[in-house]
Amino acid sequence: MSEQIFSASRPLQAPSQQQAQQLSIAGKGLVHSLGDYNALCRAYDNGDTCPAQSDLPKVDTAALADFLPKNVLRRIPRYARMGLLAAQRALDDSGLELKRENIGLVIGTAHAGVQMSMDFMDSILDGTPRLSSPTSFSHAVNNMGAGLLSLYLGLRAPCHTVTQFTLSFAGALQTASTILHAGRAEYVLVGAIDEQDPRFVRTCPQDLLPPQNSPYAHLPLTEGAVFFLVGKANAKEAESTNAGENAPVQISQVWQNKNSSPYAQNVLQHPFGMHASLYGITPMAQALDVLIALHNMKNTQTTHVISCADAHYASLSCIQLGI
Amino acid sequence: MSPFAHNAVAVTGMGCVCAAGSNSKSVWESLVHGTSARSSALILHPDAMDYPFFAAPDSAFAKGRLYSAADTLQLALFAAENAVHEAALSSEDTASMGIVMGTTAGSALHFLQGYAEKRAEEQTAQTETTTANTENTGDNTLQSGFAASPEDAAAYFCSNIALVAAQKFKTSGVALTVANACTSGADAIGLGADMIRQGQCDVVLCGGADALSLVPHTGFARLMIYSNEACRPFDAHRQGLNLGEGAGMIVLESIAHAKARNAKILGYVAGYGASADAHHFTAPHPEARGLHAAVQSALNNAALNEQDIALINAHGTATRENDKVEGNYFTRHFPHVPVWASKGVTGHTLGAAGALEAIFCLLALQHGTAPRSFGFSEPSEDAALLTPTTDMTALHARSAQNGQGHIYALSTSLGFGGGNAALILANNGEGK
Repeated sequence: MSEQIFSASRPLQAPSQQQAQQLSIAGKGLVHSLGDYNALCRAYDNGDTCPAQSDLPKVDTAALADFLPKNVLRRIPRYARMGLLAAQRALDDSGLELKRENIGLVIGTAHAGVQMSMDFMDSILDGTPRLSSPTSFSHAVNNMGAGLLSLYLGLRAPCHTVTQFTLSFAGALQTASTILHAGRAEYVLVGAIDEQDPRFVRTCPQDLLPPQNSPYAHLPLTEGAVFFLVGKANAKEAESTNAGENAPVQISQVWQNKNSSPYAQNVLQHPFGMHASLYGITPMAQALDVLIALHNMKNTQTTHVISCADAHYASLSCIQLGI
Repeated sequence: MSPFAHNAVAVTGMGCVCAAGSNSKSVWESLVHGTSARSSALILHPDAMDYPFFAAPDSAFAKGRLYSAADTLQLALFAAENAVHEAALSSEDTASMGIVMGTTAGSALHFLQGYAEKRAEEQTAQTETTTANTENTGDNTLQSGFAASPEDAAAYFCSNIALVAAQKFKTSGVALTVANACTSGADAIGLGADMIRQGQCDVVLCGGADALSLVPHTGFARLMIYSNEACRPFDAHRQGLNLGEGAGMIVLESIAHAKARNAKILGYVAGYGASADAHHFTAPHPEARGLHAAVQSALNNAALNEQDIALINAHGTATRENDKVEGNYFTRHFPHVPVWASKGVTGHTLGAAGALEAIFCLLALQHGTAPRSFGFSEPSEDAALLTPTTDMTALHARSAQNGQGHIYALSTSLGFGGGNAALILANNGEGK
């Protein structure tokens, strides 16, 4: 078993019944400061490091114009545009013809629509509550992304938003697994969306930025969205030895645990993700690490454990990819 | 194994707090007599738009009202402690307990005071560099009078309700904070029940919580869906909702697990369904397409038919759109089932609503009666003349096929963003 970075003992005891909770990844999509999934893979293969904050390109969601008219796009906040494009890319990547009413959605987000939240607070502080912006508020509600993605992608199975900082993506995956194994959806688009806003960072830098003396201190803040189209794993896929680019990859263990083992302590020392030097500082690091693990698995049959920690809550989440 | 025994999940602990009271007994009395009080929104902030809202009792805020994300956390823990205490779990069961909690305001960036301070600092710095003739009050207030609080933003990062609950109860299992707007509480219970059925956990603490602060209160007021008088669910003259705050938490476990430890079973979560309208960002589907899908999913989950439902607790926010959609739907699909709208006593408690109303259904099933729908007096044509309960209504098992001795209630929730959730609750079948 291959464990990235945090080697040594096996991480945590596998809960019972996990065999029944296996998922299969049918498609993936990325929208990020670095570009799409192929751009991320190229940067990884080249050993690139993330550009400085001032050189970081803006996240490009122009491709949404292929799916939605401009007058509609104008009304969609940046947070949701990133999610929409990443989710559409995951659907396209799967190549599956699916009934949208049977697809569910689970978004993991640390802070939801930050720009709209700050805009709403600005509109209160600029004048009085009576003059604040209702549009900003309605787009600041935490499940705004789920509502807009469900609307514009036509998803009618259950849609959820999980909000618990860096542990949000693992929580979303756990929720997606529960929905699928309850038979509430045929497939689920599960992902992470997080955006940055300088007003938010200036208000609470100690909670968002690495400490000045940290090896991560020079890294820029990045934003984006990652989505996976997942379904229940089946026995045929479990037996497949085809480890090519699009071979189904099983997610077999997703859980959160408080653990004082050396493994957990090791993970807690690296709270910004396994490949932060590549993708920068973002609460959706664990989702990006899963993408990189998938890239590494395309020609091999290894198993990867993707861990993520939240030091404040002393909590750890682990996702196992592969059989 | 009967479908009930296969699908139902036992409720062994309940904790609730809202304007109606701070425990099941006091809440039930208020629901029966309509005795909760509305407060002025000015208690949230002197500049708040003064619409009435249903405040939670001061006793539920252990550290007093903090006007930050920590207030939702206080309510969540208050209700959670009561639920876990009633369930009387072993230390082993508590340690492995899963936690699923829903909230709206509790997860949102509402650190207005912390942000105000930062803006004031930056504006002062700009003023000093340009030597403009600006008066510096020196007390970190802005022209709009918002005093700064540096702890405000920090409270946001320390108040994630499921993660803090996991620390408090020292659990090592799953902890999820679900933010699905007004279906959060119901979805948290539904997910918890699914997790029990799938064997992910033996015990789950689940529910919802929301406390109000200036930012969410202002936001809903600016959406023009507030009433400046007592809300009137399904009434011909309804003008909008009143917000409320509260928390509802229940402990779920499999029937086998509950019976093995001789736990007192208070009732059951018999079924759950959820869906998305994919119709409009704020308004429900006019034909209740999503609501129907959620209700049918819950009925299938419980192996029941529409005829088996003895009581409905509606979402019933008293907005024109919600009550029109629900009214038409219930009239069409549940024409002879009493509909109880309880938000006239609690207000709309946002992320707590679905969980509180599930508890209200369990209390109604325990007592064998549903209270009057306070606020309603005249049926409305646009809601298909639906008449919610106007007096105490006795509940009876509805279906001859129900051989388990259970009476079933349906609780519906509709959320911002087009979400729908339906829970089916059952009495414990032991007469009380």
